[in-house]
Amino acid sequence: MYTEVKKILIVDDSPRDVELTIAALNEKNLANEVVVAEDGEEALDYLYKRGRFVNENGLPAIILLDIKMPKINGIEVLKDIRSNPKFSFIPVIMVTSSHEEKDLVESYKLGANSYVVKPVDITQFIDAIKSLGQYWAIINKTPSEHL
Amino acid sequence: MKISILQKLFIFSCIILAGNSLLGYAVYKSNQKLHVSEKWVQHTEQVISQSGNILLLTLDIETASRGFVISNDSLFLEPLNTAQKTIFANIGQLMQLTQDNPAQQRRIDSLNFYMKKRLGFSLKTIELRKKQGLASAIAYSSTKEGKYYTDCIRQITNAIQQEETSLLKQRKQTNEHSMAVFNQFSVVMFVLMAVFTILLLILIGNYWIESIEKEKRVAEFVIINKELAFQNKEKIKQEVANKELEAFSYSVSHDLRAPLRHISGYVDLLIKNSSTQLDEIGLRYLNTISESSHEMGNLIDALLTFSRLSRTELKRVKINSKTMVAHILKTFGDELSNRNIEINQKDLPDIMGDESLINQVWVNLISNALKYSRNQEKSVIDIGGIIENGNVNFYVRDNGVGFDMKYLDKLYGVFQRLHKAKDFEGIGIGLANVNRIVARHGGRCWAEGEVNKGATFFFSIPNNYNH
Repeated sequence: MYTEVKKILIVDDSPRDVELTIAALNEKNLANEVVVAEDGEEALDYLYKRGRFVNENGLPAIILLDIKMPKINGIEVLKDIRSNPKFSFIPVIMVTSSHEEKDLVESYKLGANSYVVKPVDITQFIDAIKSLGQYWAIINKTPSEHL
Repeated sequence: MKISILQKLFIFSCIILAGNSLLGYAVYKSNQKLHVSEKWVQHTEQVISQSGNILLLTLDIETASRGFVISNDSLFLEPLNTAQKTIFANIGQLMQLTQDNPAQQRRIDSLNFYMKKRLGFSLKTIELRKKQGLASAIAYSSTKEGKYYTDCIRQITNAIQQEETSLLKQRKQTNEHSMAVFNQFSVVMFVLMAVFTILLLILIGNYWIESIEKEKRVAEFVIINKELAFQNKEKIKQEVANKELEAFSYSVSHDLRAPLRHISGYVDLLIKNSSTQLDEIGLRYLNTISESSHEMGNLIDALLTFSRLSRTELKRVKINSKTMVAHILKTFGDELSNRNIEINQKDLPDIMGDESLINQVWVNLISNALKYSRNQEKSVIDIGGIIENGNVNFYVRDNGVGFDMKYLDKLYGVFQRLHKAKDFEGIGIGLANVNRIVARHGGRCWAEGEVNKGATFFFSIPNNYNH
């Protein structure tokens, strides 16, 4: 297992969605240290420790990856992650705005572990996050005082 | 090699033309022959009469000399003088008439010879009578030389006449034979021509019919082509529409849902975190905003599902309708055991279709039947399927609130409802989905209902499985 602090990488270009996601994680006391990447490029910067993340170290325990983003989209980020042995083992959960099958089929082909659809209802979203229990089990269930 | 009908027509026309020419030529030839044979008859008659004349003239000469010997009267000599003038001309004419017959020519030569002799003998007798008197003339005559010459002449003329008669007979026979041949030939030709003419007429008839059919086919082809072009256009239009729909639904799902999610999310957070700072009215407003955004979210989701039904490819498999319906009824187990419900499941034929989509149809119709009959003391729901005209017509009948048939056309519309939301929850997408799924399977939907008496919802699926 990884010895670093278990971080959650949220890759989403919408600050509001990020805030709501963090709120949902908080709700379930899942707010580990959260790293936010605002687009695919930043997500890769974080993983490869470059750009504004050049001084960061460690890898996330799990990645919540939005599909539709500017510059490099979620699918392309996933492709990169799965092709690099350094982080190909990290569970990736695709976060989508809808059940658009095209995206999902492609995500699974590329090795996504699971997906959540951002529901309109935040409690539904919390439930969705909760349903990914098996992935949360691998990170520390530390109380929310970290935030 | 295949001969076209036009080539056949040409060939038959040529045959008939050739046949008619042949027949015409034969008639002409036959006429010519008839003419020639008439000429030959005339010719024979001429020869016979001419030779008869010659014989008569010979007898005239003999009679004249005899008369003069007895009477010494020169009056008797007149016929002899006349005969003497014409007889060789007559022989010359006969010679000319029988130019083509060497045997007759030879006869006429000898006729000429004997005639000269005969005439010479008569003239000598007459001279003796004139110069030496009756006795020496009689003595000269009684040598019978004259009689001999006359007999020879008679024989020769007879021979000439016989020859001509037999020739005529021969010619007549030949003519009769060729006439018979000609008659047979013309009968055969006539029959042949009749047959070919009939065949030609049949061919023309066929050609006529064929060209009429061809015209029809060309007309049909033009119509079909037009239809195809139209269908092609429609298809392209449809494809463009589908693409637009896809782009639209993508943008709806991503772009419209995001702000909605934010409204809802932040309102929820507000309710959760700041509810103590709000009075009751403020809290109710926030709850209303939250509910409305959920509602809108549901509508968007329903619209997306509906549009997805048009886009996803059908995966046709054999569907065991009985098992499918039984399985769905099981999922409604709680509701069924808590209500007074009688469900009559009749015969349900198997079909070919997309399993998950047909499942959606059944779920929609069965849940509707349960929903709209829930206010009855006892709900009665009939489920079945009948094979009819190459389709399987399924139905779900309930004894619920039913509907007014005048709103039938609104039944299957998107977001169309015939009941108030406070009476029966729902957003009005279920039957639109059913209709879309059934249409994609090549079937159709229809319904019968009466207010407060119940409703029956039918859907047909082409019967590709039961035969």
